[in-house]
Amino acid sequence: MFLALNEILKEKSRFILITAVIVLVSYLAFFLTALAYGLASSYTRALDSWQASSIILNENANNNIARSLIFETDYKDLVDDTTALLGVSTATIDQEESEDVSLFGVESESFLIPELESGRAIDAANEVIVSSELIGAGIEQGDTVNLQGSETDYTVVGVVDRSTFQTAPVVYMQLDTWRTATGEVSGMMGMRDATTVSAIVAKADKDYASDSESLTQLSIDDFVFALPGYQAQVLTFSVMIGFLIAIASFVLAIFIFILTMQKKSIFGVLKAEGIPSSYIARSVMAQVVILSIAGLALGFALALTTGLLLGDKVPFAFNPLFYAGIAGVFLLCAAIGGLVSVRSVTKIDPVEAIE
Amino acid sequence: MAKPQTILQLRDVTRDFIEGGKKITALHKTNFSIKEGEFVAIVGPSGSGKSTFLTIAGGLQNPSQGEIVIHDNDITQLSTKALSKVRLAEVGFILQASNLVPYLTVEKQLVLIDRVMGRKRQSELIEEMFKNLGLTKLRSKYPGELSGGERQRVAIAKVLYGSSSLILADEPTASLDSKRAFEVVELLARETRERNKATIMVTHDERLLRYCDAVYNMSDGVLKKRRSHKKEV
Repeated sequence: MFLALNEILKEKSRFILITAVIVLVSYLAFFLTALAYGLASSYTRALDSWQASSIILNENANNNIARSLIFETDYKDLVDDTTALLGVSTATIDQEESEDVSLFGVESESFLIPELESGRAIDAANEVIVSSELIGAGIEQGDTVNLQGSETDYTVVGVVDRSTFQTAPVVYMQLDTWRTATGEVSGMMGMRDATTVSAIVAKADKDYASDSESLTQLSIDDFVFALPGYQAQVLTFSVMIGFLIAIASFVLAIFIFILTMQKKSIFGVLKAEGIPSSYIARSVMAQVVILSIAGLALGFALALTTGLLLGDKVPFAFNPLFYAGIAGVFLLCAAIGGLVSVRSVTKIDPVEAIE
Repeated sequence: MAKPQTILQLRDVTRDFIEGGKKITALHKTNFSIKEGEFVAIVGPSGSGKSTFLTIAGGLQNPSQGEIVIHDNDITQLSTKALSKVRLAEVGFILQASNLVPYLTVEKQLVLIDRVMGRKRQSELIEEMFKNLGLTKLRSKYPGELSGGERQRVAIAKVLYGSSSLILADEPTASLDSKRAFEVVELLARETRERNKATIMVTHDERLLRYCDAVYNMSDGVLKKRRSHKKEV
């Protein structure tokens, strides 16, 4: 520590540069991860509050909820406290700047509606609860909104915090209202049946569908991965960020290695004087850890600040687990760079340093 | 007064190298010893084996044959790690180019020794040393800010501050002008005697020999003691 700290204090500008490299690299990794994670979670944020274990769809829908229609004859035996009926479709809000939304038809007291940020629950037909993104897009609580292709007026009675499905903000309404709206908007024949839903969401870890010829059950995770485009997008981003982190870590390790190798001659002299290799090695490692932690902390702070400044304009979400993972990988690579250089330090022949 | 202790002894020491398939003898059979309070010089042309002698005496490399005894301990068979300990505790090097750590201030060069040895800072000794060597005003300067003579004075302070009983100086005046060279060697001679150290200085500057208790000539790997060197000066 003594050598490590004193060197950093003496060679301030050099160490500021080195830390700056670590800061920039980790900033990039942290920021891109937050963007990718933000985009991925905008596909599923409406689902996260459910805390459900599985979802039951029409078997012929190929796991795609947009194509799934289920009638009461198929689901009547499944309805209990731990399940909820769900209708899903898409529509466009008719206003100056039209806004694509996901329509969720739900029962009034359903656990599928997230906690309200403001307003009240739905207690009449044509009342809706909207995601807070729509408030940002110029819709106010108490406003009346129309959907393109339909003449019906819907009144916004409540707002929930950022609830999106396949990146579109969610509009919650009663199931009957949903059937009418979807029928009007898309002219779907199946909506004429007064019992139609898209899916049943189940909280309990139970088998619901194996006895039925027309239903299929899949876990929420599988359901999310089957959302059109989700898997491709998550895989692409994961590979991109994975490579970024791998290469950046490698650069970091090389950097640390070069930094230590530059000091080979002075380490040789110290060894000649009888200062043990272990003391020198500890000092090298201490320096690596100090620089890396400082760099990572600053990089994280920068990413956080950028996220706050960008606000709701871009999908930006922090996942502490990912961040801990990235920081861990960076630290590990820096440590490996340090250890490799420590190994060559221990191999220095002190005789050479003296002669 | 107690009889002066022998600090270093070389018994029948030789050092051979294999180079290009041929055996080259860098150091022929050598016997040598030095007692506390003694300041001796080794003189000889470059490549004569002076440095080999010094690195073997300081436990930096092993001899091909023979024994090296420091303070009654045979260090010839010690492991690298144990040798390193002996160097830290017993041997101090003063090198041609300064062997100071560039990013430590003069004072911290000494504190480093405390850190490594795991002992407490010897404040009184530091003050005394700085006063004797004229370093008090330079204590918070970095080696890069010092002149060659000042750096060698710090190197001497460093060696004296450790517990070393044996000081090995390899051309300590090579980078200095004659005035500074005399100062540094005089200081080294004085501190050697006052602090009961044993100092071996390799040099090719004959003018410095008048400070020494004995002078050895090294030529083609053979070490020979000069008779009454002081008259020659």
